[in-house]
Amino acid sequence: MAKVLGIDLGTTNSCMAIVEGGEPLVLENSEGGRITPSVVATNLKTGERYVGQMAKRQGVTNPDNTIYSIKRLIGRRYSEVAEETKRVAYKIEETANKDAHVAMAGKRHQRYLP
Amino acid sequence: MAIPNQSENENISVPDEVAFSETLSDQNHQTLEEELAKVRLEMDQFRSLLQRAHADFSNYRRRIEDEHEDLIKRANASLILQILPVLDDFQRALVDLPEDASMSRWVQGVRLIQRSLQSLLESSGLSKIESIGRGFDPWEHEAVSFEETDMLDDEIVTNVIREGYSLNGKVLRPSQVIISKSPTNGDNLSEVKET
Repeated sequence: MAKVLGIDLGTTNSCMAIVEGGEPLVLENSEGGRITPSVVATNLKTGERYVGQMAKRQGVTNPDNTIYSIKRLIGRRYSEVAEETKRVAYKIEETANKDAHVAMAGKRHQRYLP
Repeated sequence: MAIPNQSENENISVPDEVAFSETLSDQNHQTLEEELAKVRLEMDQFRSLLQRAHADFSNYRRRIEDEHEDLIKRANASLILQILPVLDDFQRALVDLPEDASMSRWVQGVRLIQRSLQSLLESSGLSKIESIGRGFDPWEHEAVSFEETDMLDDEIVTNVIREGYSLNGKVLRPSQVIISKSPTNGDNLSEVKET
């Protein structure tokens, strides 16, 4: 039977829970942790995507394509995120409609709207 | 309650079904229809609730079985994770030992204590993650820095800062490693340092 999954999307860590038997139950991730770092990454050479702890572990090797603290950018204009732009290693660009987009490096210069 | 005798029963005229329905007013009929609809709705709700409870229970039972199995495998994980820094300290203490001290009985005793601790942990299912010379794998490694070299391909582990361990095949603590990077692709390092 379908269940509703609640996600607490935090700036640094996220947590997922369902209601089972009338009680909330926090779900563990594949590594057994109850919280998951709010980090995603793409390896442009292999095309693999990493989420959570694994994305965090490879951040030093792949800073352009490791996205974190993205919650700070959600729904904001480029002019509002000047401070965040200095703090993160990935590129934040302004689009024609003044929104802040994340630009992933690589041959295909892709932009993602947070 | 008094039971009427046979002669009285013969005199009572029992109304047939059609006649009985005719006696019901339209209002009563409508009330019964509404009650029936209400009961049917309740029945559907209870059926749905029962199905949900059954599914919840099946999921609960399956999860408890999985957790129990996992608990047996990883019963010592938390304790071993806290002991690992002691093992690290032993290794750090012995790695830079002066040559003249390495043969002393006191040092040999310390080595024996280290081996004894390591054997004890290995008997519980702990194994070291071999990293040097292998490709970087975020499942097992945590990159803390990289080293520019043209002797190796990109993303090969060149040095281990802190050993990683797995317990019964599951990564308990990833290795902290330094990986190779070709000198021409060194732009990213400066960006990391800036942040």
